[in-house]
Amino acid sequence: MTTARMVAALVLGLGLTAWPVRPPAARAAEDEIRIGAVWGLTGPTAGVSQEGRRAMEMAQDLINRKGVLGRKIRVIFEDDKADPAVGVSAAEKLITQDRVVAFVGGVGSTICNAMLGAFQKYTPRPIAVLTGCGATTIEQRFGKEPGYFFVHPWEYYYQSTMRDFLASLSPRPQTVFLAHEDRLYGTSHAKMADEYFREAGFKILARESFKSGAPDLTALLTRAKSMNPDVFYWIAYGADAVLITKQGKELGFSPRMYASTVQLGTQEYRDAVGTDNAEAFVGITVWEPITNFPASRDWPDVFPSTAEWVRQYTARYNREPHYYAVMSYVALVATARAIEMAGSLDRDRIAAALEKIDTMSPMGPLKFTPSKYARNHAFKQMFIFQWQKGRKVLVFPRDVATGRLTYPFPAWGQR
Amino acid sequence: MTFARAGGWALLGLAALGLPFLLGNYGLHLLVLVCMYVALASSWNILTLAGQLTLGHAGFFGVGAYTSALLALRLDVPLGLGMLAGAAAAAALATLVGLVCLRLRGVYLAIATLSLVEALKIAVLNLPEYTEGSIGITLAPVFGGARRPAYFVMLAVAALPVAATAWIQRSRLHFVFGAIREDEGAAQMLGLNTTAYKVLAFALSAFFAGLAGAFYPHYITYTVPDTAFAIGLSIEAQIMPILGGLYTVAGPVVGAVVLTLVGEWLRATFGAANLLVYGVAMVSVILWLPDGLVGLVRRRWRVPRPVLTAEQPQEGAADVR
Amino acid sequence: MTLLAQVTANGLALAGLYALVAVGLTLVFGVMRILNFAHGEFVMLGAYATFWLFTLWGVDPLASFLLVMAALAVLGALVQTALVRRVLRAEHLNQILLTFGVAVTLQNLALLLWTGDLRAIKVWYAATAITVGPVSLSLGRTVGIGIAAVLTGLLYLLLFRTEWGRALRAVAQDPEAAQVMGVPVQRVYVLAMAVGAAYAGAAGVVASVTMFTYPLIGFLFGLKAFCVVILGGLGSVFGAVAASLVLGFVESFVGAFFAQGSSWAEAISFVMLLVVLLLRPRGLAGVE
Repeated sequence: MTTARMVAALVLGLGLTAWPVRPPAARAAEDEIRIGAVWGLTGPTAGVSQEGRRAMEMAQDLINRKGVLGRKIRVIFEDDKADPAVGVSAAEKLITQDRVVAFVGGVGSTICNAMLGAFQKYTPRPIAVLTGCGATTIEQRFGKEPGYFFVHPWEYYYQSTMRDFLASLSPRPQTVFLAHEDRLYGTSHAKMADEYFREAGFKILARESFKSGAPDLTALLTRAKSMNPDVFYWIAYGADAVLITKQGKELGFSPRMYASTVQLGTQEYRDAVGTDNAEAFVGITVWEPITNFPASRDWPDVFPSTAEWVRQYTARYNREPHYYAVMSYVALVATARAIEMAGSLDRDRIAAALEKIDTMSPMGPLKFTPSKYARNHAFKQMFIFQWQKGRKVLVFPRDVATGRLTYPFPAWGQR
Repeated sequence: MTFARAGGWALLGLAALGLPFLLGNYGLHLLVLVCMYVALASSWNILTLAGQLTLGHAGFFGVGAYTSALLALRLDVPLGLGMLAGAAAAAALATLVGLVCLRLRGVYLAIATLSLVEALKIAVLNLPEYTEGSIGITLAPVFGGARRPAYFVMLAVAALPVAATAWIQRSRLHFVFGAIREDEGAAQMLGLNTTAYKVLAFALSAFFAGLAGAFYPHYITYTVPDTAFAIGLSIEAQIMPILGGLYTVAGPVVGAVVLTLVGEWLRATFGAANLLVYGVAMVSVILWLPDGLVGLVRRRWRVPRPVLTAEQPQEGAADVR
Repeated sequence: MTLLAQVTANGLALAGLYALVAVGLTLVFGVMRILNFAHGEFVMLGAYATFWLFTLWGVDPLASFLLVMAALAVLGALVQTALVRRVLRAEHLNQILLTFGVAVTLQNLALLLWTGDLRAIKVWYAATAITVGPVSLSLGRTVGIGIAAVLTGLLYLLLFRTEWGRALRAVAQDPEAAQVMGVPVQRVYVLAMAVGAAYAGAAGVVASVTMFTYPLIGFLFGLKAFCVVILGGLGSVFGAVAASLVLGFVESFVGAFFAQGSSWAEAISFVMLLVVLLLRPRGLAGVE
């Protein structure tokens, strides 16, 4: 008897899953244009996801002042818990239940890979303007597909710029100690860096991985110090940057150059290690609040100059925007504009309109062009910045530099 | 009783076979996940039947996933064969674990299996020449990405451990496992080869978990160590049978269905707060539903508890020093 | 030789942090036989408490750590009386899941309240190095080692030189006999959990100065602390300290002297745990 009842309850529960297939009954705002945004709102990518979400909410408000095709847009945020299977759940829900036109934003190449795989079987396929897929594996797999637009720079843009920067130094460094966090992000970047640096004639003393977020990196740094490299270059996350700075100082490890990637450029980092300790650390980035681009001539209301956009963002959220914030903002605005240009929600026409966009944005010139494998990729220009007296200064490429590079790194003992 | 029970299962079977024809892609994807968790929860439950409290089911799942993914990547082994190989590899590992961890009890076994998963994950990460490491393995979508056939495969994968549990409950193993769970020493004195039976429970349980793991990367088209050896899988495999009701056939099934669907509902409803609600719900279940939903049903309809329930496993002498 | 000395110092500092996290966990297990999966979250909360006291009111971590320990003790007592007390007689599975549920709740509460941002405290002594011969260690981590040593010593005194300590040990050995002898068992349980949480809080103070904090940091510590307490023998304060030293040194040596060492160091601790459990199923100092 009990089993029967239980199983009956179970069938009822299973029946609940049938609920999604019913056509969404009488929606309050049937005429709004829905856009899906899948972020890791809980779990290890929550910090970056909150950055992206804030910027998309700001963009949504601005876009809705005038509306799109006479309608309002609504961004529906979904949590992927940093798990690809959950990301697919979120994507399927957004497509079948919420009937979103496009997916914008997102973080994590693992999630991105699974989600794009799930999109493939839909006609019409949703438009995707993605901020979170930087791995070349994704570019190779999905890059050719029309309707997928990539905003995050691929690994090779980062590492070729870092290689050119190191080669431009004088005296030119000879040896590099390469350290990276041991998951997808750090490993694939480090592989590329290793290859590019060797080609340019640098000697790679070691390529060592470590666990991101580890409570102690002195073992790694002691090892690096004993090899006496000219450059200590690491690819990891913000927590690791804090620890490497603090413990590098603690060990008195002073290579000629401490270099890392974009994770070094956050306000959090500077606040965590202090202005004096951040001094002369160098990072590579696709955007910094100091990369000053003029306002767009086409859409000055949503794409003001970088300085003005940063001011608006800071006024609204009382914090400096992260590069994920500007990427997500630009991606959402571009999508909304493309819908307007297309004049309908037809996916092919929206995709064609996105391909036609060619304007200035707070993140720089916005135009989707082919990359190594992908058909539509924006923002290929990378910058090298350096912390100087608590502020970031652009030091490379030379033509956009806003200050002089401090090189070599002033030894810890002599500050 | 028997008639009603058979009717219940028939109804469930009908739903499992019929629902996919009513559902869209979203519903089908959820059903695939439900089946995957039924497989994990049910197979984990087999180990608990024999009194083995483990926290390492992600290890068996992950070994299954990596075996089948690597076979497909390197040798183009067809899916079915790859899945069998994945399940066999998981069972082989479990046999070893079972033999090696024979003397461990209670929380010691739980932590040992938990550590094993972490060690495996780090090994897979650090041996990229063999495993592709953190870059992961990309696979062609199974059945060209069609959800319905994928669901039926996962349904079969889920049905196996459930059927195995039902078979165990009817066979001599039921009493053997029960005896080991209640008092291993006494079971030995009765002349039972407890080692062999414990290892059997390990191998059987891991085989089914490995089978689910072996299909999963083909379904989701991509695997990295963090998803294949996710600690969350071990936790879910444990909480689902407890929610449903331990030591029963239906418990893990009920737990997996309810928790997967409720989890998705929370995610879609509460946004960034969904795990907070989940955590509170988890605490509430333990406090107010200690015997699971099965226990709730039994109390509600005043059905006596079956004789075979577990006592608190004895931890032996403890001390503060 | 220079390298060896430095690596030893690194290992000692790491061991101090591990020990601080582990002694509280092992105490709770020894007395109640409950493995507290939310212990790492207590560390996280301790780190946040330190951070906010410093950021909002400028309270130096050296001054606030007693305050933080007191606050965490209250929280620990609350968790004990409201939740854990009710599952003391339940199965281990249920106990594990209860504390795991508490951990998930605390993590996500922190995420919603304080965002996923990385936080660290910037005090002058955090990264200021003191150099003695070939060895260089930050003042922050040196203080961390000191705090770990003093607090572990105090715990030892509490256990072996006070009435409450006798009660704790009596309950650990046989709660029913202790009850008969007039020991207030439930209050002793509350005391154990409060002290355990307070020590986790102290570890949080050290972490917020020498490292950083964010909502998921507890998990990192939690898993490592399990290794430490099991290696040392559940319930053994002395064993936990010894195991911390072993793990701290081994991880430092492997990371510094072997290629890819930092990446494998983590696995080594898990493998060591497995090996020790095989040879001695109740840990290095466990009771057979």
